[in-house]
Amino acid sequence: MKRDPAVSSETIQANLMTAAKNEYGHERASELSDQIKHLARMMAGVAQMRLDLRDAPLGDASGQDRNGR
Amino acid sequence: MSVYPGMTAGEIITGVHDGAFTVQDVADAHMSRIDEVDVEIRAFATVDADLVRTEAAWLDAQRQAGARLPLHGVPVGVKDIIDVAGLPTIAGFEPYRDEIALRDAEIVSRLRSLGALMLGKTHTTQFAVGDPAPTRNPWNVEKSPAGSSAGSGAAIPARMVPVALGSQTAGSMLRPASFNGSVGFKPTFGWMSMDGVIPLCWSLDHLGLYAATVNDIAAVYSALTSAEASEHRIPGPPRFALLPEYLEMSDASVSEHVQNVAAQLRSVGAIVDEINLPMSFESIYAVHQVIFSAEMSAVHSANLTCYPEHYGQRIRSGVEAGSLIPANYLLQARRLQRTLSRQIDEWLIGYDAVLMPTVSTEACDIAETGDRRFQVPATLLGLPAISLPTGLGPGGLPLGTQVIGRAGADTQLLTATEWIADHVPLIGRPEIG
Repeated sequence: MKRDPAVSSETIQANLMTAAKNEYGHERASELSDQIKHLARMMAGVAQMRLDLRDAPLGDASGQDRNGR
Repeated sequence: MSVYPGMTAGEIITGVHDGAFTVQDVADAHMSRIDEVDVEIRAFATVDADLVRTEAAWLDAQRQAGARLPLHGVPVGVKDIIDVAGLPTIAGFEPYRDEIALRDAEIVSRLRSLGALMLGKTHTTQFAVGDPAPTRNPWNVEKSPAGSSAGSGAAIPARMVPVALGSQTAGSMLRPASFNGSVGFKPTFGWMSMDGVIPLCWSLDHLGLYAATVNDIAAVYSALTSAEASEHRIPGPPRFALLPEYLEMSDASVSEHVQNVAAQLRSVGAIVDEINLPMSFESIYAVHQVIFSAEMSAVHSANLTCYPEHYGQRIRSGVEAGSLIPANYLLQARRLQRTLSRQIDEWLIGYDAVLMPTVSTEACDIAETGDRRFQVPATLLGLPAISLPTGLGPGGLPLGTQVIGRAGADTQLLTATEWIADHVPLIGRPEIG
């Protein structure tokens, strides 16, 4: 699934449902439909926001860094 | 002076230092309180009285030898995703009931070295997600104590401990503070190592503190970080940003309450600007939810495959749905988290703190854990945030005012919050037991 600012949450939702059916089967995918609908809206929101090529992620909170590794 | 449940941490430290009572007296008084009220409130998952008394005896021996530790004898409730050596870390997950931690989490180890007494483990929603914990709200046992740090949030107003530890990955520190009427503090992201804590999302997990007063929060935070609030005195009345976008999303009674708090602060000289954040709530929430779902899924997918029957319905659905998120969406969200954090850092230079409701409602029904949306901005952006119990709603339940500061400016935030608490009366605690 490509990240494309022009893609609607409905399209993302349909793609996620297909993936869910493949991964968990039809019945479980149906049970996940509310979660998937919410997630599709959130993913569409993320896809629509612009970034500079140089923007990188933040670090994490695990406390497991040793010499930066 | 004698020991009684409901003493502040400051009073306990003074009493132990002055020899007015022993740490054993403190331990016995608080364990008796737990025996008395926890049948109903169910804040504690595990209390090992023998372990507590052994630790108390060691702390008393230290005092007799002349030591005056910064948190000498302060009982602490520890959220049950945080390791305490000798106790199980159950995390609301039955297969872990007999998993005894062999060593302390970093934050527990530091608290012990400062003289604090680990009184027991407090209930959490399963793995700090959304399936409710067994804990009840001390103000009304038919209402939710929120989640995920349900036991820690409820143990403070129920006078079982003066200090408790929680965690927040969406709204799990501040929402229980609001629903239960405690003071909850989530410092800047990364303030304390998560070593020894069961993770939920590496990019969002925070540890935090609960107490009954801002002074106790400041004392414990300062001891843990060796920072003094007085280093950062505000020269005059503080300047706050009050967020109309979030007031409009709140119940009318909640919005009115926080506007009244702002009016009280204006009346004593504070400047309160009504202005929105430089990014919309929708953008913050979208970024948070993608990171939360994908990272939670990465943490739990394998374990869910091993123990599907032991996972709660909500976390199971979240883990499964999160596993469907493509990597490029997660990485985009993680990059946006940094971009939005930089934007808010610049914007916040003009203010001592942001004011907004902690939660959009007062405590909800027991089957839910409440609306997490208003706690998400401080979590995603890694900002220090405090919930103050500033009033009661129409249902007679606590309402919280959230005070958010600049990243890394935790002591300034504590100073600004102490100023607020000096001018806006905080609610008391409910009569139970």
